[in-house]
Amino acid sequence: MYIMNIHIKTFASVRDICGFDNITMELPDGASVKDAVSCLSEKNPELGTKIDILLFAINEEYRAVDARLQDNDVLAIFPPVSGG
Amino acid sequence: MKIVQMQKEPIDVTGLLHKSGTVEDGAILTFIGTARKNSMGREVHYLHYDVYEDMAMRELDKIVKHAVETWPLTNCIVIHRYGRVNIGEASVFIAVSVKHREEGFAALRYIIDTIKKTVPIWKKEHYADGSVWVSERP
Repeated sequence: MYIMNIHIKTFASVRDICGFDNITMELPDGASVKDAVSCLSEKNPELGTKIDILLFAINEEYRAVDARLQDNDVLAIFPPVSGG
Repeated sequence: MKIVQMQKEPIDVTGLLHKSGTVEDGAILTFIGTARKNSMGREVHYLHYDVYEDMAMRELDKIVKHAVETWPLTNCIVIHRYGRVNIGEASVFIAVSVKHREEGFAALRYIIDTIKKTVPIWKKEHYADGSVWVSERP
């Protein structure tokens, strides 16, 4: 099976939960954002409990949790924004 | 003129106001968001803003592009801080210059409301005894 490299970035409370701000992980071809979060949640279960409120961006564009990833995508995972 | 930027340094509000308007326009409208001392009954010592800088710039650019295409703005300035922001300092500065005020009010409200919804910036309040991400507050 083809393996993709996905570059994960985390911000704010998601970074606190995960304990890193960026990491590269390997996922099988065809994996979705949800698959990436599930994989990260194995080490950081709290992340999985927040999946319904989290926001995701692939290559700096907002995407839904069921969006498919492609090799070398940058996937950012973060909580609702609170600027202003 | 369009100015869109993220910066760590304090915002020079007075300097920006001086260059916000034009002689063709009848109104300069500004919104300045500031770090307040009290939040939900707790005394805030300072704020810290985390940012996904490249994406935040893209989102800010989209917001300003939409605003200048929708309303006849001569000038549009949007500046957001990140990093530490002390109490009383400006965290965000928005100014629009326009012939008539109604269009300016509409543009200003659109810009700040959309920043709060889409730009990847996160505010953390620091107190004497800890800190809380605002997006995680119950």
